[in-house]
Amino acid sequence: MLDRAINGDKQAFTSLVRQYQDRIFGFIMRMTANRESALDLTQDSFLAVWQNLPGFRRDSSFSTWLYQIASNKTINHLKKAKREVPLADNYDAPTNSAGPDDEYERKEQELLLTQALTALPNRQRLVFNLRYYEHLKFHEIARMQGISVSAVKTSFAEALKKLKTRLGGK
Amino acid sequence: MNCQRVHDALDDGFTSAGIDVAADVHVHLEACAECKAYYDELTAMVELLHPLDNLELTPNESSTLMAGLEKAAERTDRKRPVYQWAAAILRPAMAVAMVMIIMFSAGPNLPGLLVLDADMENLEFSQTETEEILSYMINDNVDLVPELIDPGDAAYITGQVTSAQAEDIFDDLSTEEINWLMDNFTLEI
Repeated sequence: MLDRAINGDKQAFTSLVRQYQDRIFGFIMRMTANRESALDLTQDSFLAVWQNLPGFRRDSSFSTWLYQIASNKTINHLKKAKREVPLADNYDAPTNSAGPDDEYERKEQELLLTQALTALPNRQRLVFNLRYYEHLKFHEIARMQGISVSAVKTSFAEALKKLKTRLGGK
Repeated sequence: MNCQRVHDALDDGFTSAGIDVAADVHVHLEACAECKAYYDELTAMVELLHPLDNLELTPNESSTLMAGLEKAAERTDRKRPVYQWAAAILRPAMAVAMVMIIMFSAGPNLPGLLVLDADMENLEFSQTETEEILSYMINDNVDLVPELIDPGDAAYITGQVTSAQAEDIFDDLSTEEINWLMDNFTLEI
């Protein structure tokens, strides 16, 4: 499927998008805490993938390359967005079929978590997301970000420590 | 296995899927109350962080994404793999650490065009060429996050590459392309 997409097969590319869209959207959503921005950045990321696929050299896995593009787009967005209100204040979770109490509780939990995540510095948030939620290996994140593995591990440990404090852990 | 190694192993294995550690770590946990407490703390964190595990697009959002992509893809040309050449010309030079400094500034009256300031000489690149440069750097893992440039704004990009990264990059460049790069970028070796 990847080879066909590289060669310009739009149907194969569509299948790739369907396969990865939720992962990329979820990743960006945890970074931005803004559903509209996350949707736009997901689209921008996949468009960049479509444009750049002919040059994809398989130095890393496709999914790592995809996360790299999404990371760059998201960090650029965060840098450019001179926000006057904290990200989490804009947090907007989707509705689902759960009852009103369940829905309220779920949104409260998501909001609390999102506030804790968005309070992290960009690099710590990025590293934590890529490692904890997306399960990338430390060395993959290090290569992606052009930093050492120990720097990645330090960022991850710092993020975890802050999250524990903010979420009421030890 | 000492406690520090167990802590490191627990941190390394800690993801939203749980805490994945080797059997000898579990053996240690059974005998060490302190490490077991840390393990329980991490397990509690997995529970706390669980609500954000699966953030998915709604069906409507997915449709919007696909429609938007299709539309955008029609308007956009795919990049040709312009940097896939073989070359050895700069291998010796790249054996040392290199810092690549690239400055961009937007021409005030040239929306859609960017001006590459190399050695403070104005060299104009089209939007497509600029995108190719940025794409090239992003795809090749150069440690930089390019600032997107708005017409009228000035911005700069600084990329630092190690000797290993530089070799990776220049391994795939042709003589022609390396000359172009050297002509148009400030390379500090």
